Amino acid sequence: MTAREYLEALRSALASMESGERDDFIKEMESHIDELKDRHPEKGEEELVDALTPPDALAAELTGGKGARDRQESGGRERDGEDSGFRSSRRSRAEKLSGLGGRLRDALQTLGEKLEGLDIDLNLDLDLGPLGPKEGDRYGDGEIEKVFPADGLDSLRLEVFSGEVRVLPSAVAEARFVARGARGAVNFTFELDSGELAIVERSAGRHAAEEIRLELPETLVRARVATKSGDIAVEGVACALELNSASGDVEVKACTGALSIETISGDVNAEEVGTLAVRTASGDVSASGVTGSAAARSASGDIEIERVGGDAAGESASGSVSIDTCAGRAAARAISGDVSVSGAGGRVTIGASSGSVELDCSRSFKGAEISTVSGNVYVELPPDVDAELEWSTVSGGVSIEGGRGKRGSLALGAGGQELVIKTASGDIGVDW
Amino acid sequence: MDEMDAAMALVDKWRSQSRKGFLDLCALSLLASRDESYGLDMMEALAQAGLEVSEGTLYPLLARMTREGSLSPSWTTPETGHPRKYYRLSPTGQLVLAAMREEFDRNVAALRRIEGGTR
Repeated sequence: MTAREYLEALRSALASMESGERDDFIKEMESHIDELKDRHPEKGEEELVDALTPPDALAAELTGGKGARDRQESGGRERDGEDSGFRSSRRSRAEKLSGLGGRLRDALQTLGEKLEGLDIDLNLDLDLGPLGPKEGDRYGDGEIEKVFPADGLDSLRLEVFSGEVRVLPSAVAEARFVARGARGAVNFTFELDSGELAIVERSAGRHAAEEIRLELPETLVRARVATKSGDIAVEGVACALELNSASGDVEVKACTGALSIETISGDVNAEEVGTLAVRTASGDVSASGVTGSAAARSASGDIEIERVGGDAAGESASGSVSIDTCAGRAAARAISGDVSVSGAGGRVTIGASSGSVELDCSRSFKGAEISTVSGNVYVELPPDVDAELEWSTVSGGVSIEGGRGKRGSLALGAGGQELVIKTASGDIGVDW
Repeated sequence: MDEMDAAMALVDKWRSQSRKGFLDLCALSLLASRDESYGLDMMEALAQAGLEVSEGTLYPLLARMTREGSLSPSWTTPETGHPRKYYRLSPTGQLVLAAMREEFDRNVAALRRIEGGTR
């Protein structure tokens, strides 16, 4: 089969698909075949095309079986007719025309996208009304600078690709946005809808803005920033923040609002913040100085939380979890990583699988429950502690002064707060 | 031999079920790791990683994920050569990937615990 025959067969197999979507898909497969030809000049076109998924099967996958049925029906009609060759060649001519239409549409669309940058700047006054750009805004090729009055602006959303994002407080009652990059690579849309200003980076081929700076007025209630690979740095902002990054690192300093951060592989570093909720897939999390509560979850990243005014919670599947000094309760969970908790003001809950657990309650003890599968457990209590100890291990060793056996209990001082330790094969040690 | 045949048929069935969702994760991860990519490039990268995927699987998957909003495709036309459709993760796609990745890790960890392994 030639490339042309393949694409035509695919087109008729996709008869039930919406025409714009179909044209786009055909164009994509055409590009695929061209790419194969470029990469394998030693092979003939037909050889390459014959190795592809047959058009019917491809169409069936694409339309969830619908295309394949249509194709079988039209195939049946073709076999019935004596002049199928003629008809198919007539159809191909019609398709060539519709293909041209598709290409024309694509060209117009591309042109439209290219014009959109301009368009938005031109329409901005209409779109934003009183929030439109003020005198002095600049629209350079590789730079955009815009200023928005704070009045009526409650929240702000920024979406970028790969540029470094810096978020700072604004000295005046307005939000200021500056983006810089290579010529032609800086392309953003601005939209205001019921108090939310959305600043979204548009694809400019393979390029993107390199530096983005956002200054927020203190009246702003909430800001959201999403990036793919660029780092995000926020400092001195009081509003609630939602920060989202795929591979970029996130750094937040001196932000008193509620802070929510999600990354895939990006590391997270938060210092002197209000409340904190973090989720990462593989990024490490480090938080220090949280006025309210702090919670961090990761699949494989390490978690370090210190100096928390409220409750602290850390959870990592394969990373380690460490909590140092929190006024409230502490909860830590890890599967293969180690867990260490010290200086908790409230009750402590720790779960681990193969990781070891270290709990330092030498300053104050308000009760704790620890369970592991194979990880060792070591707990330090205050010298004059009043506590009820209860422990059990199936095959591990036990080192507790005055405690005997793999399973047992012991009252320290006047008794009181419970310390419960359970492990399958880990060793247990308690000192005071 | 009968057991073997039966097992193979069952594994085939299981594979096609479990692979679908797994491929979504792999395609998203691949795009996250290289910023953007086009169909044939993705097929080759997946194959290099040990995951043979036909265009009959990959392109419909890309079309579906575009429709669902996880991918943002864009056509580029170089000065020489043919146009290419590049795919990127959309902000939604990034979230989806993060969640999938975590879920996947959790599942693998759960399986290991079920099997009684310690690591």
